[in-house]
Formats: sequence, C-alpha cells, structure tokens
Amino acid sequence: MIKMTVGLGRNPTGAMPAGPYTVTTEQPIDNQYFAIDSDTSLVSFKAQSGTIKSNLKVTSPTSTDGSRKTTFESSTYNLEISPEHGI
Amino acid sequence: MKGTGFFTPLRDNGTGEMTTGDYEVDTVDNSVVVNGCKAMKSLISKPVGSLTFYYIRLPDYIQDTENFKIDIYSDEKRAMKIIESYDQLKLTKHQLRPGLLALKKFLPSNSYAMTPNVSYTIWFTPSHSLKTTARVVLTMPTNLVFDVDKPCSVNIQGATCKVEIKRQGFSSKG
Repeated sequence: MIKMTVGLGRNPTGAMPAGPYTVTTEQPIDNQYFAIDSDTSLVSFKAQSGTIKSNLKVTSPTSTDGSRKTTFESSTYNLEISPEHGI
Repeated sequence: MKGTGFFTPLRDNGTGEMTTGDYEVDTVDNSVVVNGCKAMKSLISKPVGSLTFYYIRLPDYIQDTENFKIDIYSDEKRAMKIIESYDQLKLTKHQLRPGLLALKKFLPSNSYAMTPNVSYTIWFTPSHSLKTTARVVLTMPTNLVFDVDKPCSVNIQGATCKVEIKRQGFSSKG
C-alpha cells in the first residue's frame, strides 16, 4: 500500500464537498509517461462548519447590586459572536 | 505457423485446447509456433479459421503496440514461407485501459472549512507492481487550495514528491 501526504493546503471555503480525486501510476517509455493503473473517487471528504462562540449581555439598565432586572419595559442586549474561522 | 507481436506468451499448464506438443511457446523469441494442418495434406484456397492463444500478457503500459504477425510455412523448420500476414493486426492504446487501483482512504489533518495549513493523506494500492522509474500522479480535489512551495511526501523509500499547479486542480507527483 502506498501512502502519500500532500501539504500544506487550505480546506474549502464552506461546509461543502472538497471534490473528487484521482490516482494514476505511470511508467516512462522514451521520455513519455504511460498509464498503468488508475482510479477516481468521486468523494474525498466534506468540509465541516466550524463553531461560533457567543455571549449575550444586558448592558442597560442594571441594578446597583449588578443583578439583571426583568421588569423594565426596555433593555439593551449585546450579542457578541466570535466565529472560529475568518469570513 | 508462427505468431509474433505485441503479446508476451506465458507457458501454460497444459490445460489449453491444443495437445501439448502441437505448439511451442518461446518466451525469448516472444512467439508461438503451432504445428497445424497435420490432418490435411494441403491447405485449401483462401482457408478460413481461427487461432485462440491463452496465457497472453498484455503490454505493461497503455500504448500503441507493434503489429501482430502470423506467418505460415510449409515445413517444420520454417524455412519456406507461404503466407505472410499484413501489418493491420495491432492494438491501439484506445483499446487498452489502465488497470485497477484501489483507493483506500483520504484523510485531511483538519476537516473544518477554510482551515489553512492542512495536510491531506491518501492511501491506495495499485494492482500492478511499479518499476523504480515509475511515478504516481495524484490529482487533488478542486476545492482545495495549495501552496506550490510546501512539500508533499510518499512512504516509499527513495521516492521524491513535488506539487504542481495546473488550471483548476492540483497535481501531486511522487
């Protein structure tokens, strides 16, 4: 069994299949290569979606002891999100 | 009758349809000699028939072959040729297909989208042995982006590996 490692590369830009890949063995005759064995796989791997870290804060109003009030008619919520990968 | 050409005859185990002794396999000369027409004193005009050779190995690689020849002689020493085949009998590379290659596994070091600096390892088993001058061409998935200056590796001792960028996909040769 032959093992080849190719690197370094970048995965697909979204959660999608990377695509097919082909392996061919070739033999040179008179400086020209000819195929011996070959096969193509339509599936290599599918890139997964990463994670997003989030934090929800109530910034206004807050009580003097720091606890959140639930009876005010309006409040301000700040949702902080941190994607694992660049967009 | 002597046949030579693109094939490589292998010595059979005596299970062919012809009686052993009625034909000779010469692996050095790359030929098969059939002692035919023993039941007949002479050939009829424009004889029609067929010969089937077993245990023939096809060429080692995909290529147009040399012409296959069948020569018929009137004597056992094959000194007096009476029929010579034309050069139309040949195999073209379009009639040959590559052998099978078992793709075992494709494994990225990281499977999350947009991740850079990922290495991809592929395991496979060819059905035919490789000579030291052979090469392996690995065409990678088109949705991956590679840096041509980054190395690739192969587990065969003494083998080298390099990455080449082509139009849409990427090719790794080892």
